[in-house]
Amino acid sequence: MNGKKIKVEPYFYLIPSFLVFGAFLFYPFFKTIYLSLYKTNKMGQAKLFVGVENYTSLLTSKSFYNSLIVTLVFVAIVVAGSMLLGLVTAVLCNKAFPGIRFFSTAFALPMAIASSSAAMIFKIMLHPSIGIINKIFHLDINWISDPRYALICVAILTAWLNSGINFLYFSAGLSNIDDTIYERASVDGASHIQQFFRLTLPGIAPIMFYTLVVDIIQAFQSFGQVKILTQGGPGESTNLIVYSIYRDAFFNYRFGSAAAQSVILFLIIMALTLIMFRVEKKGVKY
Amino acid sequence: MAEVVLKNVYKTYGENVNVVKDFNLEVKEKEFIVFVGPSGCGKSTTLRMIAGLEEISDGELYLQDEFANFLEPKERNLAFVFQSYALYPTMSVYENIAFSLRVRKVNKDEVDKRVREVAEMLGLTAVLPNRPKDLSGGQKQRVAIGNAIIRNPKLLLMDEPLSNLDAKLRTQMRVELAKIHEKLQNTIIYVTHDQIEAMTLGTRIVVMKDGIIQQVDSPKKLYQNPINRFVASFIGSPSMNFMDGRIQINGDHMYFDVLTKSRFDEKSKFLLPNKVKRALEDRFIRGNEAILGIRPEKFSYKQKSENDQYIDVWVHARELLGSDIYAYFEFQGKQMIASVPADTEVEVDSHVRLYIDLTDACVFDKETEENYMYIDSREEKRA
Repeated sequence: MNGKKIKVEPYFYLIPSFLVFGAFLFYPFFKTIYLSLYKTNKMGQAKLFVGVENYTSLLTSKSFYNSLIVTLVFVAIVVAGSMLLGLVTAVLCNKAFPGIRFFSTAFALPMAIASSSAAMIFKIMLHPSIGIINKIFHLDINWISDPRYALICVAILTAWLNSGINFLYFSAGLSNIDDTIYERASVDGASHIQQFFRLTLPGIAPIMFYTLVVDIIQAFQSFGQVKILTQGGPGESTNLIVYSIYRDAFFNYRFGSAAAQSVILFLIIMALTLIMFRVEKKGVKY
Repeated sequence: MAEVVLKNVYKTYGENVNVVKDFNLEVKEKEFIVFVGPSGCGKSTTLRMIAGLEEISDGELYLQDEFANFLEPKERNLAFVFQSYALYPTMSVYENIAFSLRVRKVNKDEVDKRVREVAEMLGLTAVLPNRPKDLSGGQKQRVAIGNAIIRNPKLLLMDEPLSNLDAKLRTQMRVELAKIHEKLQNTIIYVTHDQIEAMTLGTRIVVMKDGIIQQVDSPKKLYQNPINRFVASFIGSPSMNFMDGRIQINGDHMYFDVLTKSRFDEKSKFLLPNKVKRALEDRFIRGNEAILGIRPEKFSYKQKSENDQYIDVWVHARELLGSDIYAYFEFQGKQMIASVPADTEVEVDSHVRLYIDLTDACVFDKETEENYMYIDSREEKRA
């Protein structure tokens, strides 16, 4: 035996977390893959093994490609918007000025707002006849019923919602930068713009990369605001993959197809994340 | 042409907190000026006002005869070395040194040439591609200096640049700084709380306390001719010894009678030498009360001249510093230090007769603490 005896005790300590992971992560994950290979009944029970047919029919469906493109556009707008908004607000609040607490709270607040309640508020603001947006700008646009604007409206709402946490991350990143390097830069002759691009941005690059990854994943998973604001419409102009999964599963009762879409979404996000980490190893250093 | 002129400069925070009060100074070209004083005396603030990093509350600042109160830091054509080095963590050493040229859009070949020159001069060539975090303290310090001198600024400001280095490196860098000054021939204003740095580097030293200039003079004059008790105790290491007492005149002789704690004390009355006597003769001294200041090296175990006074003391500790020994003793309830040559037999916990050479002693006013022996060189010239 001589110390080669496998110790059982440590594994007991892992049981609670494995139970939770197993119930809410591993089981649904494998169940999804399993379901994606079947046709199901209305209760979501696998009935008929069809192999990869769910996938092939998806990849030949126009609607699915539309979902993909809509999702990519949406993610691009949301990530760019929320990063920019978070960065600008964080830079503004990096200087001490009277009322800074109020502004910090205001900029971080979207974090605490549920996406559905934010969507309700936006719905009223964007209302074609009583909405404040049309009133202020003297416009007569049916924001969320017009296919040209609906996606942008949902994307901007999401960008704002996600900007709160970005504000927090960027603020932390900025406060990590030593103030004296700005003093030195100003004596060295650098303008404020040069200071921003040569010192501030490289200084928060690592944290920006992290927020970029998180933001992309988060944007792909946006659901509540679409459900409340547009229900994927008008037409299919805001039919993001996640919403399309929801619709396929719970309206059309095609759980197999929904599961297949989930798997594809998972693959896309995983691929993006892997690529970004590969790039990060080359790009961000210090 | 004066490089820097400060006229009645004040720095005030809030309502009535004066960090710097009525600061007047004229710095000439190629001078090495050192601001020295205890922490919180306003020396760094003054330097930062010259650099434009801190607003001037009141008074005027002229740089190269140009009114400069409201110039941006980058318009002042000066360089600044920070205590914390302030290196850009995301850039290589090369880029750190090149930064001030880069932002001025100097062409690449010129930048490369100058960076390599400076790196050569400071011994940084091998670490040019490294990042600041991979450098030792001394190297970081040199990078900061390299960045400052690459533009060959006429005015170089340094805020305690050596205080983060260990003792040996500090001495080494001190010598290098002196060399750099000699080579570049620019004007340097240097802030430190270390009086040894001030004494060894400065052509003139500005001693500050509580935001007020106490004395501006060459290192030698500051040491020999301090204006008041603060300057006398701050300049010189170990610090000057002070005794409270009374001036007594007895016929032709003038004595300093040390305030005794018990009446059974031994000899505590010193005959003051003629030089001191002459300086004190025509001064009004309230209640004849005064403070006598004696440098530690003026104590001796052997009588050197017949004018030497002596005290009998109890030595309770000693420190050997290679060439000198510091003997710690108590006299009339006050801790004092004598600095004697290392070949002296200093025994701890023993009674010793110490001889005192009072020729260069200082006598301070009890209340204002000004030095009666101070000779104002400006007045001397006028007379």
